Amino acid sequence: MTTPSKSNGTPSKQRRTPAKQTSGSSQRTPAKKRNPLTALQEDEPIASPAPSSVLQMPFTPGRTPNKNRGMSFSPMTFTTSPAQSNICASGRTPMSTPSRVRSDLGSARKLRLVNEQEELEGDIDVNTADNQVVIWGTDVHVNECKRRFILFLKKFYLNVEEANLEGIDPAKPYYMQKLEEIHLLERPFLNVDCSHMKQLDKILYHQLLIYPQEVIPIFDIAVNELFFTIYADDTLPHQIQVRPYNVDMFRNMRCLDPEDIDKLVSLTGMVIRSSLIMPEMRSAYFSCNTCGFHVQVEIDRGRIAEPTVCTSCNTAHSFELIHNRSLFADKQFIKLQETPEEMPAGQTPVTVTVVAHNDLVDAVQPGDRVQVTGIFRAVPVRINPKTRNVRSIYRTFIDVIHFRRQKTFTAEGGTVEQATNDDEESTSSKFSKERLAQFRNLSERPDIYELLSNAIAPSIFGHEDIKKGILLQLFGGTKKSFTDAGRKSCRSQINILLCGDPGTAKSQLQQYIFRLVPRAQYTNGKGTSAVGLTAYVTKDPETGQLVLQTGALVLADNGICCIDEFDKMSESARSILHEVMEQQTLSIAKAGIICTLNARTSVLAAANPIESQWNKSKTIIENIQLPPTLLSRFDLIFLLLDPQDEAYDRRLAQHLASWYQYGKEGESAHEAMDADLLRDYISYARTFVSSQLTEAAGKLLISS
Amino acid sequence: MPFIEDWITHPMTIINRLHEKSPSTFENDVRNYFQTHINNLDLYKEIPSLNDHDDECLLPSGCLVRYRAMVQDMADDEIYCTQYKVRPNDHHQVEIEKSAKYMDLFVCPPGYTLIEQEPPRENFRSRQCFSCIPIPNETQWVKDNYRLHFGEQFTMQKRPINDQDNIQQLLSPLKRLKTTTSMETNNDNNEAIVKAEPVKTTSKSNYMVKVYDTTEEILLNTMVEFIGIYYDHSVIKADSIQSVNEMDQDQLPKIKTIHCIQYKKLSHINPLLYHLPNIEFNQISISRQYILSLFECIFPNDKLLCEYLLLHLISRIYVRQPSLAYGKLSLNLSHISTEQFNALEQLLQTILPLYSRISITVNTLNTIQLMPNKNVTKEDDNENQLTQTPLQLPLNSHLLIDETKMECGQLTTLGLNNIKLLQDLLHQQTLKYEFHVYQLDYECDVRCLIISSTKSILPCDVYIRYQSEQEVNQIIFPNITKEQIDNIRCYLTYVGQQLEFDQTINNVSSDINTCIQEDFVNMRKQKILTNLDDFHTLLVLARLETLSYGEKALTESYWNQAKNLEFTRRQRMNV
Repeated sequence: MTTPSKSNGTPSKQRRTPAKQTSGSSQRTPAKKRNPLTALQEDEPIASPAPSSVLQMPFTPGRTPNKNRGMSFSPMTFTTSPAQSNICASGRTPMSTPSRVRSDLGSARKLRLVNEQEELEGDIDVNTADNQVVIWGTDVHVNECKRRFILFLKKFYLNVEEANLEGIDPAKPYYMQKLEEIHLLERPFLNVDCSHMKQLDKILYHQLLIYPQEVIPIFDIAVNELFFTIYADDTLPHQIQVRPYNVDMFRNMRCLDPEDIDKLVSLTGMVIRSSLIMPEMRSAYFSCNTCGFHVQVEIDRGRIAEPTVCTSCNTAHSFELIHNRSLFADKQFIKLQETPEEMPAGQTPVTVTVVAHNDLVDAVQPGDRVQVTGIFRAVPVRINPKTRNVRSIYRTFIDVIHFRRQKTFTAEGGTVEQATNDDEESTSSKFSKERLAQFRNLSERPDIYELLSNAIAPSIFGHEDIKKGILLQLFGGTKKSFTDAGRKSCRSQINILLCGDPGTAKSQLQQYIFRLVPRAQYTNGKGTSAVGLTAYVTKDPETGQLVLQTGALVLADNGICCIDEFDKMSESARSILHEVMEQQTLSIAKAGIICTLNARTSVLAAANPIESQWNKSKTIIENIQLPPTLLSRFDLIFLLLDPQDEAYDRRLAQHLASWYQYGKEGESAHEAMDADLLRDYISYARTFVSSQLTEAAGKLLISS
Repeated sequence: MPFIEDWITHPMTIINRLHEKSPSTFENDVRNYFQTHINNLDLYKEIPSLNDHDDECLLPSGCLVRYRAMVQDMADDEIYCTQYKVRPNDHHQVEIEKSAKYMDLFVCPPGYTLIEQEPPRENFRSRQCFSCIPIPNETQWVKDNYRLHFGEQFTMQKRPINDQDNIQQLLSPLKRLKTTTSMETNNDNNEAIVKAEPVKTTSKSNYMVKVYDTTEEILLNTMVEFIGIYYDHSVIKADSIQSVNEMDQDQLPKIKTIHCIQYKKLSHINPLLYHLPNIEFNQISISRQYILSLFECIFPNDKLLCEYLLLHLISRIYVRQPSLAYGKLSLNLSHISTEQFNALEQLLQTILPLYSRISITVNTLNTIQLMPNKNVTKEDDNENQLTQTPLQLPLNSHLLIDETKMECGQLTTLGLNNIKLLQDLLHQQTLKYEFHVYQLDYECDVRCLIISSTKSILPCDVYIRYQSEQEVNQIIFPNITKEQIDNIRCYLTYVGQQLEFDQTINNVSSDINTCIQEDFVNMRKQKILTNLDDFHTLLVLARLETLSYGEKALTESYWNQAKNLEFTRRQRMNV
């Protein structure tokens, strides 16, 4: 973990702004307490804030008191809350972009700004004073931070490759284009990839990680400032909110520990449950029973402090909560569970509670795989009023700032889904940069073909050619579309038939492929009926409606369907395969449902010869005994014959016995390539690479 | 000895004292203090064991306990606050800082008030939480022996376990068989008992164990002995989606908490082996003979089956490959009578430390969920426990699958899933756990013995049909002394353990390697070995055979013995 060096001038880092002390303090002016969204009429006097070196800055940029002794907090330049337009009749551009409470940053705390100069009681130079405003307890210099962020937004360029991936002009600064997008789409959220920030400005990045709830509001201010200088006349639904994501600190929720409390974390997980949407009180509206005076109290660390004495008529306990004038925000609890890939063996998955606010509510559904960026929090378990004891346990959760739904990269042509909370994140893949570089390195190796084929089923001895064939099947060909010619596309899938003596690892190969490929189905021909392979119609027992249920072939759409004991399959089931293997579709016409399903499946079938042992005196066709129509649909047919040769047997015995040796070094001659890498490599290649036949290659093919 | 009393009944006072003395080294001090006490066997025995206590027997809250358990589920880590402050009620004295380790609730001594404040971030620590149950398939003799060897003093006085009694108890199932003349009724009784016994899905005495500063990973289904402080207030869950305020104290499940001070992973739970770290060589062959003779009482005239049974009992996985596990030897016996079955079951219960049985019929397969599952969709977090099933067992368990009652019938989806689950268990020694959004495979090592009327529907490494001229109606065990039984128990555990540490077998001796190669080539030539899986089985058999004699290196004679065994079996099966 990296912590930036904290500046020495920061007053007492240890005291993390105890908000309780400030909540009732006289420094808070009524003007600040008012929320602009309520649009109340102004009947309180605007008290100018007491001159003090310690100021408070509420989170919403728009509500900073503006007479703060000439310290340039420009946020209000871009806010027009009704309250403020009353105060400062300076006649600025009447802008209708309201500010908006960010509940994701935590209701919890108020910030204190400290002017360091003042504490030194030196002569205050206005220019330097600007840079000296820091947030209490941190080393964050407000203006410096703002400046850096704006610089980052203006200076960050994507490299060409990534820009092409995102469909964005690499010549222009990336985030400026994003701002333009906001201008066009009027979706006032700016997603900031923290890895970009890390590249350009490490200090800012670390500040963001460590003091997110202090730094992000500054970012908000900065980006609004920038935005409204460029698009001065724009009106947005509310002010732009910055949403950082992709913090490279954590990948695994298991690693979260107390050190990370109040820091910005990113983690991936699967949504297993989301609660109902709950209204959370943001600010309570109290009205005095005796004199009608009313007060708005904002939530402070999850609590609302009810005012006891009316400041207007001095009656004690006269306040009453007015529900429909209080403000509420949406809130939702979401439970994330560790993804299976991240699980250490032999442990149960851990879960993390995530709290989504406002726009992020209902952004994800159970079952989604998401990357969450947010602030890790710990709050004490509330004391049950009935018990006297205080618990030492803390409840932990993450306040979400950014959700990103992960696209599932399967070994198929396209991506299944890709959406973030704001639909604008396009195709930056799930592969990390290192992984991509690894792919590139791999692809440049001259022996890549051997390397990959060796990686397939390393525990199976020999059969190099078959492994190569299966490898080709895994990659698939390039789909060629003939839609202009009035035909459907030509299939890119390769079908393979393995035929051979029993006990020659056919099934094991299939099992391996079944495990390797994300969308694979494994069936045994013996017990398979035609409907089990294709699809069938059932009657739903409850509604009585007809329901189409899909079988193995359809389920393996864009994947591989392994069919063992192909020869023992019933004739009717086999005939179904005709359509699937050539047309890659499946037509159903029964019980009132007529449809064509996609079944872009590669078939990896395994069959025994007709006499279960290969008969050398017979021809291949006689041995296999499959109808020629079906046989023609297999692109590659491999014979796995028992060579019945002593030398082969000996090597085989050695290979097998080597598994029983403790160190099992027998196979280290091959460079091991683990299955994960292979799987990723294949899916990457299937997604991004579509090979074309060059002219020379075409000629070569014809001539041969 | 008042000090020792103190040590067991009020460990927190000692911990607090140590904390007051020097807060900086406090954690080490606590560890050292309890370590020295626990290492002393006499003192160790004085710690009350939760395994010996029935639920009715209430222990005082805050006392030190022992708990021999299996990690059944893991809860999320918990963040707690290490320190808190109390202030005397008269405001003249200074605040006192107290340690909050090993407790869930801040305790406030009389005359003091708690200072509530948000602690600095440095004071947060995390601890691991495990949901533990007593080892589900622990056999009775293990429990008895633990009590005998490590039992607390006062339990001994209350309920003296006489050695003589104990032997009687141990041999009771065997004795009963010997003495009974009317087998029929007795068998029925036994069966009912056995059926009810093995699987309790909701164990009464499960505890939430909170472990501090774990250095090594504790995995699911590990057997661990925890020593820690027992609290009788129910678990306080930190993490709940619903507001904690609304939770009613009465609605919370009554799971008690143990704050672990020290823990020890158990690789086996044979209490006899604590005393006998090594077995003499001749003891091994004697025990081997002896155990075979016991098997032969059940299966007269079938040495082959007995040999296989023995090898099966000591089998254990030692290498895992993706989708393959080497070293397992699941066994399928068929054509055995009910009497034999019962006798076998009782014998296994007497000699194995971890034994359980499930009976599969079409009906049970269709109704029982065998896959351990966690239903996370339930709103109530307290319900989100992994549900234990008969298949969630610690490593090196023995599972008897009774298929004799299987009849024709249709399987539902659940039934099919259960069959698939059992197939995976037998084939790869992995068990799927359902976690609602996905299923995960966990590695397990369960020796499966399938008793069926004909060949089992489940895949097994070895299938043997019992072959005998005469019907076996009465099974008479020879007179067995307690010592002999103990020897057998030690032998089985010891040899089973050996397999884990064994590295020499098959390793260097190239003679045997070439010999195996030659044999392989020849067998292939003669077409008696077509399937490569059969070759694997041969290698496993040879290995186990070697180990069963307490040897470390495979020699040609063992290899031949294994070969003979396998080919005799095949001959019998082909007939």
